Amino acid sequence: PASTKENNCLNAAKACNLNDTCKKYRSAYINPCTSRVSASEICNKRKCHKALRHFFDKVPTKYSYGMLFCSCPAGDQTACAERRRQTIVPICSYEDKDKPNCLSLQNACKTNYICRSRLADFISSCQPEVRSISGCLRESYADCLLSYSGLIGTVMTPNYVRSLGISLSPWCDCSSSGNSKPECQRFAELFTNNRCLRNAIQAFGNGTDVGVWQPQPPI
Amino acid sequence: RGGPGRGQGCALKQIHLNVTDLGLGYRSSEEMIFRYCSGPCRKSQTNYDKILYNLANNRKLPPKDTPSQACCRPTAFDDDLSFLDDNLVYHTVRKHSARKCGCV
Repeated sequence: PASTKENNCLNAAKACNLNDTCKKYRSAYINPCTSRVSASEICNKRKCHKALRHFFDKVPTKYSYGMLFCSCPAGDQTACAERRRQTIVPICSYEDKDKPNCLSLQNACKTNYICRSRLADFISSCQPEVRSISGCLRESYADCLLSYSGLIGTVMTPNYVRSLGISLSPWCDCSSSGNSKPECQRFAELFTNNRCLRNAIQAFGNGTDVGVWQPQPPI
Repeated sequence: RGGPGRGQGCALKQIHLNVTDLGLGYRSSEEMIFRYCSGPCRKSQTNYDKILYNLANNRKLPPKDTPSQACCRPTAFDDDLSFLDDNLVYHTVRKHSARKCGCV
């Protein structure tokens, strides 16, 4: 049962379905991401990813970010935060039977040109910087959010982790890293513990950074 | 609006609804625009419609046959609608809302 108090993630979904473009591209990814293709496969992941990339490419960020980066009160773990986590239909686009090592996933990403360029863009646009007030080396929340949302629909698709606050990760971890454990953790922390990315998402959710509402040209 | 037998009066209208208002059994707090066709179709009658009307009035048709006159109906449907229900399950409904209307 949904709570009756203000739910930014629900309001963003309402706004999307009242806009013809957002409604069309939302349904265009939810359909392949929720359609079972065989007894063993819950969906066609390739089609789901492609439709998700279209959604973030074609829909104005006012609507797409509204759903992906909506802000939820700290106490709300169901109606708001879980709805936000469900935005990308994680059961199809995110979760998998096994969880690979993050460096293996990074190598898989590098073999695909879309994933390779979008990951490079994310690493440069969301680079944290301790001495900067924004928390970002490049000082642009809009660029960071654009590069993060650009990863959705690649093998590096990130999502919110079920826990308190804003915690993000691709579907991988650093178990069985051997000698590469520090390198793996440095990579994983670009998602899980990135002040630049977290600040950018919070600024959008609180409406404090108006710059991110302007659509940016793709890089 | 075009469509077969473009009827003056037959037009696309819209209302803002909650998904639950559709009465399809979904419990969701999400909202949507529902578009429907409404209006008279008298001016768009074809010879077929006129003949049927005359035959019915002159009792030339079998007594229990009353074929329908032209009516204002969707000739194309809106894009699919997807939403998350209150139990956080996604649903997609098709052919739920009109895009174009015509007297058919």
